[in-house]
Amino acid sequence: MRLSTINYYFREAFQSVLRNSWLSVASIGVVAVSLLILGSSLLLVLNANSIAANLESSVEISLFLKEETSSDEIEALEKEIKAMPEVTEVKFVSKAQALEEMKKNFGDKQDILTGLEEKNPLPDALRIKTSVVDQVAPLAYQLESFDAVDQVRYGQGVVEKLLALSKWVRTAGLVTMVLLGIAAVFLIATTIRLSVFARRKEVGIMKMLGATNWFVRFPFLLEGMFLGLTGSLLAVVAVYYGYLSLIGSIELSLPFIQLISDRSLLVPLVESLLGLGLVIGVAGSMISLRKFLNT
Amino acid sequence: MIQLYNVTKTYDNGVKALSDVTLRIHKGEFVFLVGPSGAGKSTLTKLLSREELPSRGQVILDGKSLIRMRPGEVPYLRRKIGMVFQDFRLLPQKTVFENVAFALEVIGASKKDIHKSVPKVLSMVGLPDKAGVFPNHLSGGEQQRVSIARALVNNPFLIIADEPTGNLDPETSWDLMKLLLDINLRGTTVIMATHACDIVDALKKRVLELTGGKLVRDEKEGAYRCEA
Ligand SMILES: Nc1ncnc2c1ncn2[C@@H]1O[C@H](COP(=O)(O)OP(=O)(O)O)[C@@H](O)[C@H]1O
Ligand SMILES: [Mg+2]
Repeated sequence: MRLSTINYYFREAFQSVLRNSWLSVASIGVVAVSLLILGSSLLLVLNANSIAANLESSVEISLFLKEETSSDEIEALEKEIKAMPEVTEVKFVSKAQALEEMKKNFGDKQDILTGLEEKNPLPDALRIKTSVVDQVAPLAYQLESFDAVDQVRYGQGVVEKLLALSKWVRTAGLVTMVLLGIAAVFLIATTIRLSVFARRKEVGIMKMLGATNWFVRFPFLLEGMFLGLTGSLLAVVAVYYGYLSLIGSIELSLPFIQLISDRSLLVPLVESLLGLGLVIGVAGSMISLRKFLNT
Repeated sequence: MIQLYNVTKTYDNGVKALSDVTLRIHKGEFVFLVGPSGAGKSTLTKLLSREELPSRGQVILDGKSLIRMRPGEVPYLRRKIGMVFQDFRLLPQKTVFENVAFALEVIGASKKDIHKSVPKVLSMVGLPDKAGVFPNHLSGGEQQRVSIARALVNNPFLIIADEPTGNLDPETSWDLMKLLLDINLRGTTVIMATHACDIVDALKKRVLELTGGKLVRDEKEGAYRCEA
């Protein structure tokens, strides 16, 4: 393709965007909002799933032991629990080990915990795994009655709630996105239709002069692509900076929640939002061009 | 070079604009297409540029059937036909130069070719010093010359002019006719639909007369017969 032709395409496309400035702004806005919703719900779903996965692998019962329990008593208790049919694994975690582990979870914010070694507030604990997840609740109830046991904790319920939330967000986000996406496609189609209408004389002359269909269509297609891409760019910027500041504030207030900040996950997200914006733009203009630019 | 065989054109609304027209036009001819308003003259020219397809019959241009032509080939057909209309069809926001250059731009010509060809046709139509002017600042005759320049710039083998003098005064019309005859003398076939009987009568060219969509006359050195 010649440079002068490419120049021509861009000149024409941008003239159109300016001519229909209000409708262009509306199209860009709707694309941006729909992709913003898609982006945020995707991030929410991904994070909920990753947190749920973390919790699920740690569905185990923690028995926090009373301060005064002796090591003999602990050993006896361990043996007794191991003998129970539904128990697959029992592990003793001393208070020192528990503190170590906690430090690991805190990552680079573990200095919050320094100074705790001398007066470690964490209890000794037994960690128990069961063969079947739905045995956790009755077993926990049973274990509570042992003398040496101070407290029983298990994470079940939270996992289910998280997964349910993620599923709900996924459905609601998808439905909203699809509806808004369709609205965006039709707004762009309307914008392009107005562009074609505003330039019908020129289009007629172009056809008379032997311009190919694609030559006539391309500036309009470019206009649609521009609208879609600009909208998605706005969405990406908003999602990206919104998410970064969310990560920042969660790190401060809820350091134990690890949000995904992995590039290998965020880059494809940005790419697919931009790609979707482009697809919306192309779809919108093709609808109009099919209808209004046939020879 | 142009052949129509038993061509009938009925529009979607049921109007029969052409009815069983058979004719043949050779390379290099100058042909007047006459007849009252609504006779089907414009329809015939639209069949040649493949803006319309006949309902029945065959249209052959340069050995090619326009009926069997694929839609993708149509633009390439039109590049070989120069079209001129009563209303000039110039773009007001483009200068004279840009209007003529547009014909080259849309077929993807290079800047170099454009700057070579456009001044040449502009001086050919007698407007060498109007390149930078906008159409609104030109007289009707001058605007029509620009549209002829645009039609010529791709070296077409056929010029179709649909009432090109319809908006011009008699004197200007004659200047324009001289230009079209000149173009014809260089070997380009010219088909001109017109109401201008004095021009037709004076030039003694071939005349095809349509009435109610029927070809009622085909004379080698014909006249309009102004009284009709
Ligand atoms: N696109 C169209 N749709 C329907 N009828 C048309 C169309 N174009 C022309 N006609 C009709 O066909 C007849 C011939 O028209 P036209 O070829 O324009 O005649 P002329 O150019 O000789 O005045 C007229 O009755 C006109 O109303
Ligand atoms: Mg007519």
